[in-house]
Amino acid sequence: MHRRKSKFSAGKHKINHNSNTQGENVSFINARRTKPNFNHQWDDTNKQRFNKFTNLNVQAKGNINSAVSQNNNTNKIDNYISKIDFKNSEKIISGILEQFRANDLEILHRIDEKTLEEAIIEYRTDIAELAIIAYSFRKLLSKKHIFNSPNWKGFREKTINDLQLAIELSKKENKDEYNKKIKEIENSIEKTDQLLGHFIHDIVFNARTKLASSAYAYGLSLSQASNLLSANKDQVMELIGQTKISDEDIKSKTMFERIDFLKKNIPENKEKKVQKK
Amino acid sequence: MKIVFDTGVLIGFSQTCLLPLFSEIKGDIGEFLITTGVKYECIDRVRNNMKFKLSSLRINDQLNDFVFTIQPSDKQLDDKTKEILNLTNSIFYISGRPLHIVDFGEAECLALLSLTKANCLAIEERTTRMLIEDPNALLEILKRKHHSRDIELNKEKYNKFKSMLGDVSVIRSVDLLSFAYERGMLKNSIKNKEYLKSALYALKFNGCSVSFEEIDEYLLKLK
Repeated sequence: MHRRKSKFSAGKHKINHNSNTQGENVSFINARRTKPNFNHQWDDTNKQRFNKFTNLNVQAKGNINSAVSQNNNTNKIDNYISKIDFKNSEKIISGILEQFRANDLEILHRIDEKTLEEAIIEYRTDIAELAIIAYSFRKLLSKKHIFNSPNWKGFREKTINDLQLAIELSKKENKDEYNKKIKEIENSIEKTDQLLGHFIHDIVFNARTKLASSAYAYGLSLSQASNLLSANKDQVMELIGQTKISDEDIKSKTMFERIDFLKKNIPENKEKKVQKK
Repeated sequence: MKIVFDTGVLIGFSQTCLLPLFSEIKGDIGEFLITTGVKYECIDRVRNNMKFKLSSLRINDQLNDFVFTIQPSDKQLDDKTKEILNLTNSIFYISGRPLHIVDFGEAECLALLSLTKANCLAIEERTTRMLIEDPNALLEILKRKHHSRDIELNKEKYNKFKSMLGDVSVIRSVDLLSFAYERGMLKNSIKNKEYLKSALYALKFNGCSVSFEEIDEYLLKLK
């Protein structure tokens, strides 16, 4: 049974299970966190893909829980990310290509985050599209029913060719062909997901919505965020409603203050007159 | 009283099936204004999207029933919109570059506010609301999110923006609904506090920028 605390505080809520009367702190919104741990959610293949760098360190040191190896891993990723020029489409695509080849979800995640941040600051829709591609690849790679499908090999080869071509086209002054190629890559992701995925809305559509909600969290207005990512505003609103963005905001006025404003500007006697009529 | 509505409020009310309430409360409140841009975003743009078509049809019904007055786009509104857009998108600077935080749609609503001398904007999203009410709080959010960068607020531009807008208050769907409930305008549809609570939560989960804490605090103090 879910029981919310009287005051919402950073999403911590108590859930009392029948078997556990003490209750445990879990997130109210993100139910995934109720799973025992990250490893239970994925099989070994996925774990290996996600923790590629960690596993390399583990093999070298023979210590699974070594905090040192994790720090080294984080440093390696930070170094890798810091070397990418996120203002330059060519460099971003090269990074995406490299990590897509390596099936590295963690670095792809960092690339989509940093690319989105740059797209927000520069308000560049072309870079925002690359964030969508990086995000979509990460999602495709994380789904084992897609990754293990016989169709994956063909998609992977085509995608690598397309990305290589996009890198070449991004160097040209005329960006028409480049933009066309980027659209083609997105279409190819959509088709693959529609063919192999379980959901009605494809990964690219969801990526637009998710990244637009992140752009909103970064401080862009709802329309600005939706337009930057070419996302559906209704869908973005729905997603924002499921996040903690509003709960973490700094409050400027209370509901009472806003209602008081309406009360002062809309006299009550006017209402009574209307009722009498 | 004149209230200018942004897209979000209409979408929020429509998604939660609360849209017919507008016709119930309009007579008591005054004039509800929207721009052609808002109409386009709520109706025309999602006409072919089957997930949101029902919502767009419901909003269209409200327009056909003259609940909302559509302000046609003209040169004066366009010029004002561009002026506001230029100002709002140069209030915050990040690493020496202006941060484009507001879009044409929101700027058009602000321009309509300014031209019609309306003193109330109904908007769900927090960026435009905070820009009007508390730009320093918005600056804090931007600093928190873009932690590695220098972010500045150009007070000169902000003051110009505020003087152009005049004395404007911002409300959200939850405020409008609660006001209507308190005034007894919704006796047929929002029968008691439990109905109100559910409606407020439904609006929140559909994207209204209100916190659980705000809703709970309001309901606790509501007689």
